[in-house]
Amino acid sequence: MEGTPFERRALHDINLDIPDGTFLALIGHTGSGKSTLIQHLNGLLKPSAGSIKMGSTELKAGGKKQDLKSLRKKAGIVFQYPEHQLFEETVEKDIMFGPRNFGVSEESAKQTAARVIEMVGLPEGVLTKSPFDLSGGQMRRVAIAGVLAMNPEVLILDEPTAGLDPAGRVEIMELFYSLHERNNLTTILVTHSMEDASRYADEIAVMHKGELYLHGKPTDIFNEREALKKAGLDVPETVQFLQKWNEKSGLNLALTKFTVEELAKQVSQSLKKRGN
Amino acid sequence: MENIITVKDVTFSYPGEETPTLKGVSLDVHKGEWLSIVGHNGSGKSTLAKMLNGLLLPSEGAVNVSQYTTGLPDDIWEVRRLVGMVFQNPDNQFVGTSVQDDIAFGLENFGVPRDEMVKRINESVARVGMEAFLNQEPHQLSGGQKQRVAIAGILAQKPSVIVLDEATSMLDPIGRIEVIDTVRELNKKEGITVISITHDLEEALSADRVVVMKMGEKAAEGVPEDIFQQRELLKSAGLDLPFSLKLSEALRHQGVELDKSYLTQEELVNALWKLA
Ligand SMILES: Nc1ncnc2c1ncn2[C@@H]1O[C@H](COP(=O)(O)OP(=O)(O)OP(=O)(O)O)[C@@H](O)[C@H]1O
Ligand SMILES: Nc1ncnc2c1ncn2[C@@H]1O[C@H](COP(=O)(O)OP(=O)(O)O)[C@@H](O)[C@H]1O
Ligand SMILES: [Mg+2]
Ligand SMILES: [Mg+2]
Repeated sequence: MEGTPFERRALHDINLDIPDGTFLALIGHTGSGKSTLIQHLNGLLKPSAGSIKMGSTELKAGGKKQDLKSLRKKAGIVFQYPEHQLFEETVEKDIMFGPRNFGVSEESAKQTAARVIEMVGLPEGVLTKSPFDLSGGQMRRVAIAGVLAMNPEVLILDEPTAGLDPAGRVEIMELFYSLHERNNLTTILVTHSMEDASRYADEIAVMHKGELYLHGKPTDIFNEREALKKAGLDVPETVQFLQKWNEKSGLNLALTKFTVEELAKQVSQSLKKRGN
Repeated sequence: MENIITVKDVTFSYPGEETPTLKGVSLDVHKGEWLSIVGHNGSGKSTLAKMLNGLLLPSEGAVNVSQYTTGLPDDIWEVRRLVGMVFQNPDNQFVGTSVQDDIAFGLENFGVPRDEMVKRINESVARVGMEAFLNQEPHQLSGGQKQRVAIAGILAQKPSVIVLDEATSMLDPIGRIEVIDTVRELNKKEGITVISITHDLEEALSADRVVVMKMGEKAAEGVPEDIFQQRELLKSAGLDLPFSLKLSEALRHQGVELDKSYLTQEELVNALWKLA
């Protein structure tokens, strides 16, 4: 679209360093540029100006065609729409495609497929089905399995739990988090769930109108309710509730962790204090 | 209570599948109600939704919409005019090269005259806050923008029943509430019946009635106040407790003597205040 009257600038002057091993949540309202930013990270889109560096590979505006293969082996992306990344006749072949492409033997790729399908909570019988005959949430799980099969060092997840049932959402997020911790991954999670962002991320980046609007620790970001509202976002439910309780009780409690358990603890302690 | 849709003893198998995907499902949809359908991935929700406007036909049993039957070739156009569907992935639903054309195409199918068409397009696009995108190509929109356009396309057709199949799953939390409020206004003011398939438990909580699907069967049906108190049912259907219920439980765990679990934050704050 560059140079045509239809050109829209989706991103503008983004500077963001993501240290090794960070769990970064990228949040922002619909259309703020999250998916566009993510597609720059593995060379699917090239910047009109500026550069992107991952490890030793650099993608520059106007630069020559890079060896994207090693970059793509390093970074596994789960796309926003899973059906865009599924294409083989069977689920098994689909999951095997990545490892095969990078030289893994047929036998070993098959074993990997069986292993990852279980990790994402699907029965083995799914392996012989066509990915296009699956329900939306099942497709999402297969797309995730395909990325896990590649053993990436960097996990890039674009709304990976959209379409999952509530129990599956928790299971899959716990799975990502345990992989992140155990294998020392760098993880970038695009999410609309402020709960997930607050629970799992070390850092949160907020996008607004194609720009990086806020960047900091969850405790910093979620104390900025007004700023978030300006960007079309809100704080997690736990913070919303605590604010209601603060208003009612005249207290000024704040959360350091954003779990329901932590909230319950704070509220019950405040009740006990009043009781005395 | 007048029924707008009746599903009677419906069993359905996809071609080549051994076990049926829907097993003896019966369901009455009341005229003017907001009905939420929840359940685990692969439980048969989307399959059931496609039964309601005759995209899929029962292997056994029948689906009636008003006085029409989906299985009768003479009735199918009336059924489709009465029941509008917004799919899980809007990409599969776009045909036009611009947002405007896309919505117009749907209206042409139903023989809406030109002047009326323009009026309806402008109205429906404004309702979902997408006026600025009338000439944009649907495929170039962000995920959440696509969902808004798909909803506008259905609103423009003025159906009696709107079926939303996870139609807000890609929206940010505030955008989600805006779109749901828009549909709710149609539901309340114009009496349009809404069937919303969702994994968003907070949305299901505000429905008039909830249906729980589990492995192709209807596992439960009732008002949200009853459905969401049934822990075991929710767990076995891949669901979770909504926020305020979870917090009520966690508070009791901390020794707070709540008389019951509350469904909304407001009710819970008020109940806590009485204990203070
Ligand atoms: N075209 C198809 N051919 C064969 N099987 C199918 C087809 N579409 C869906 N299925 C299977 O039917 C079952 C029900 O699928 P359905 O799409 O109705 O589930 P769902 O409840 O909407 O799930 P989700 O929450 O993931 O969207 C699943 O086991 C799925 O794999
Ligand atoms: N292929 C494309 N061509 C032109 N504009 C696009 C394209 N894809 C997305 N956009 C626009 O770029 C902006 C950012 O989109 P996106 O990165 O998908 O947002 P998000 O992921 O934050 O919802 C939106 O205004 C969208 O309409
Ligand atoms: Mg996106
Ligand atoms: Mg579905």
